[in-house]
Amino acid sequence: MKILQKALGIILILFFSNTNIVLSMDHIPTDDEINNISKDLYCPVCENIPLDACGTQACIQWRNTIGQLLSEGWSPDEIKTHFATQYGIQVLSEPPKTGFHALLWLLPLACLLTGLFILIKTFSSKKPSEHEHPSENKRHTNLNDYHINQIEKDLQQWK
Amino acid sequence: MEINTKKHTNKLVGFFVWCLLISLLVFVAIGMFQTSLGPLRSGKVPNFSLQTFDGKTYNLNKLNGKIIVINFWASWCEPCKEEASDLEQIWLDYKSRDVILLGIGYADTKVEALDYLRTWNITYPNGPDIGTKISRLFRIRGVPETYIVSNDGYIIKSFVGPVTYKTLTTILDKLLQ
Repeated sequence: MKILQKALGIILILFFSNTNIVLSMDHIPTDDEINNISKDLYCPVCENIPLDACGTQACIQWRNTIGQLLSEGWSPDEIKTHFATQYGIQVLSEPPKTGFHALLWLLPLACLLTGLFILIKTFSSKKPSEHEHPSENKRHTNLNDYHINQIEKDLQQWK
Repeated sequence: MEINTKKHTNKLVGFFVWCLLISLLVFVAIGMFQTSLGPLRSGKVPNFSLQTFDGKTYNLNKLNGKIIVINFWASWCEPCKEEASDLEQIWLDYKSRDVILLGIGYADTKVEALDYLRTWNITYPNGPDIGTKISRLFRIRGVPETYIVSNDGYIIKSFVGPVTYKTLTTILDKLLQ
């Protein structure tokens, strides 16, 4: 019985020590994983070219850093935040939606709404509605009837 | 009464719209103005704080009385390699004469930057430009760029592209006279 307990103990120790070895092994990131993060980053040297499409030495070094951080277990968001802290938020393809930078998201929307408001205001002030000037419209109708009658009379006289 | 309230609301909305439009225009104008300015060429040097790779902090305001040579570089920058040994030689020859050389790593990764410093045996204070704040202060267009600051804090000369030992020493000698 004691032998069995010892054997079980050894098996358990071996099992857990193996699990630890597996857990502590670095994850080797694939090119796709690196490119998934790279496409959302821009290096300040090559403006308007995302990191995944840029072939300069600076971009290669940045991609290597992404691979390194991924293998250390960093999440994509953590990596992007790290790059923004290290090199400024201009390296991000999308500015943060919090704090002062939220203005970059809100301003276009505010401009669109303001533009719409101005358009609506302009058109509504140029086109008088019927209920605001009912008598004017009515007068126009009467005047037309009057003219029609007059024309008919004139035509009969001509006959 | 109702007509008055409506007019008042319309005026308020109009005022808000105009304020928004004017602030937008000012925002765009400032951006365009800053872009058109180009790199710093003269005037008072902007103050900044640089934390070097070995953990020391250099604040420009606290370096008053010294001639400062500020060099922007990067490990991925080929022309930077042309000037690396010249800059180190200047540091070795002038550090005892109230001249300080500050190297600022632009958009560089720490491992490669340290490797570059080791390769070129660079011993003058060097640190990364965290958040590219310093390079934005100097409005640099690329690397290498070098600035010479007089001992009273004014930019005397700036260089875009690699500098040579002879060019820099001519200016430093004049300033030290």
